[in-house]
Amino acid sequence: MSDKQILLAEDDELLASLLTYRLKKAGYEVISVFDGQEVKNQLAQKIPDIIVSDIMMPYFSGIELIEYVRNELRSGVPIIIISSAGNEENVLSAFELGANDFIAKPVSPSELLVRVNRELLKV
Amino acid sequence: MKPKNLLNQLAELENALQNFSFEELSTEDAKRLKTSFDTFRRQLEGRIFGEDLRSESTDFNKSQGAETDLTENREARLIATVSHEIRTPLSGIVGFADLLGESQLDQEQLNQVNAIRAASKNLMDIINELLEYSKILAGLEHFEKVAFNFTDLIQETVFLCQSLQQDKGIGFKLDKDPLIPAILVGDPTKLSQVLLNLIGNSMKFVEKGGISLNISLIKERESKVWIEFVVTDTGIGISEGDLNHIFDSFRQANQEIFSRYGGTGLGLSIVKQIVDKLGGELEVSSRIGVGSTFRFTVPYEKGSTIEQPANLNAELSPQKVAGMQVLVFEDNLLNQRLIEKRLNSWGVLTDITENAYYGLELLEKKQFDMVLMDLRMPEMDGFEVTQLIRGHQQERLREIPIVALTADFTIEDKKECMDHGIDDYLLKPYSPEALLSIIVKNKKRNASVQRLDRIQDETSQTKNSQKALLDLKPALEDCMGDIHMLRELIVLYKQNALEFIGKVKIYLQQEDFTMIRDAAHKIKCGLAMMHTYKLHSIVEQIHDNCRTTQDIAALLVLYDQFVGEYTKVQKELDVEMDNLESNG
Repeated sequence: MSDKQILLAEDDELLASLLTYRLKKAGYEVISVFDGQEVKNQLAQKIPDIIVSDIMMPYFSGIELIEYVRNELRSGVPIIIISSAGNEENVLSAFELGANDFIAKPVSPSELLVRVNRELLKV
Repeated sequence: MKPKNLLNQLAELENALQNFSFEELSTEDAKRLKTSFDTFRRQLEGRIFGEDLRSESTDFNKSQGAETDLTENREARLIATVSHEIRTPLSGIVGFADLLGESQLDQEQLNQVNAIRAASKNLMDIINELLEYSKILAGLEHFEKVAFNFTDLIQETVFLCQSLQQDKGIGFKLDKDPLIPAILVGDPTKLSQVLLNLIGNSMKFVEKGGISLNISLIKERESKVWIEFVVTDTGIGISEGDLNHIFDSFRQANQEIFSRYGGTGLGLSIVKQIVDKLGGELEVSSRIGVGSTFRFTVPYEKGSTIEQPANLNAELSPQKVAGMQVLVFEDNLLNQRLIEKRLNSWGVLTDITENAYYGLELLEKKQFDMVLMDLRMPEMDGFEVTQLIRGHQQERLREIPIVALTADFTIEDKKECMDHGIDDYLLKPYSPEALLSIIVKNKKRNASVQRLDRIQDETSQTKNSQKALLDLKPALEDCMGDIHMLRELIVLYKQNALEFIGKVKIYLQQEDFTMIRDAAHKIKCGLAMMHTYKLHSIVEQIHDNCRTTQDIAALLVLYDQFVGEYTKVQKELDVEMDNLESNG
């Protein structure tokens, strides 16, 4: 499809592995990281074309990530939040802080792909 | 010979403990073991090797005959007190070393722990015998006069002998006179102690052939009966010269026998003393290479009936108790072995201790379904231990069924039992049926079992709506039909589940609800991805429980369910994958 780069921040190895597989199949370059610290390190090197991040992560939550990207890095890169069930309040604050979209667990990889494509087309 | 033997064992235990590097292990068990040992050594050094005893202990060696009874009695008293003081911390060492052995250790550490266990158990055996002997000699040993079921007692003794010598492959024969009344009045524990000691002694020396126990009614007058017991073996035999002082304390036939068969050489002296106090006389005859015969006659009063609690129901099957975990507080070595063998034969898992603090620690750590409590224990009696359990901060301990085991029971005891929150009681000696029945009866009130039923109901509903254990189709679709990818996911799925099982086990022990909740949260996603809904539902319950009630008993049950269910799921996963691969 393209050489667009996706930063995937998901601490569940299983889900991360499946999503990486599907996104790569769809032609994206995927950088998969497992905690907030790694997200920061990656962002310091290069801002990807899109960020897909779990809302609950070790060291650095998805909410903190959005704040960091929007306020510190001053970047408008699209951010899709993966939320777990029963976390509606967090999803709301994620949107308030500047998340572009969200997808609930259990994540359907096909659905995520649709959302990722849509965000990238908007850009 | 004896004090040297004790010191050797002590040195061995100390050596084993010093080789063990406690610094590497930060676990509670290791710390407790270390503390127990320090207490033990302090008591020992202070009392046995301290001022007041150093001179006495030399006297003790000389006293074999020359000294007066008075001195002997005083020394025996002293030894009895001292042995008792060091026995309690030592049983702590034994217990905590066992616990440590069950934790995760590398091979080297495991070898070291096993050395500690072996040394401390040897030492315990020796101290137990020494204690018993001194107590009897000093007249401190209490002889009971209670009505007991003679038939049951013999049955139990034979059961224990048979199970003890199974490994040795020697025969055991019982011949009991049917005319002996079923109920007698006397000291049941002492009788079985004598019989087991004699039979155990024979077992040591028999290599082929067998052992027989003959019991006959030799005289009956009014309310009294005289019963003769004869233990015969086909062992190595005892020479005429050695027969003369076979009952002397610390005496085995010769040094060669000691090194070959071990033991303190106190066993037969103890038996002789007990038989004397029971009103009989122990005789021995033997021929080298043919075997030995021990014979004694004891008078008993005929009994009428024993007050056993009513309602010993008939619906009895060991299946009803199999898998239960029972903690037994019991200080008598013989009763310990007896109840352990019996319960294990029904599939009941047992932990046995005489150490109240160690027992409480076990209760906090492990998931027990019941406590069997000897009421008469040294240091802290059964009522006091019960009080600690009933006043415990953990709800599941406050609610655990406690059954008292007791040889003599009065109306006051009965009231005290109820006041202290003991649920039921059983008189010693008891028949296997009575024991089984009382466990079954009280198990019904077991809170964790009821809770288990409820949770099973809930999860079986989940299961009904979701018939198959798992469904790989959606996951395969997610992988766009790529079986290799699916296989990769399954590998991760299994890793996650096993990691969850391992971690939560530790967190449960530590009762770290936050960590359990996090682990549950972490694994939920993968469980949903593979559509293993029953596992998912169990994990949700674990998660919610950690967030709300933090009920450790329920969590333990849920954890066991997860492990059980996961085992099935894993098998099913392998089968399904094989199917997919052969079809695709």
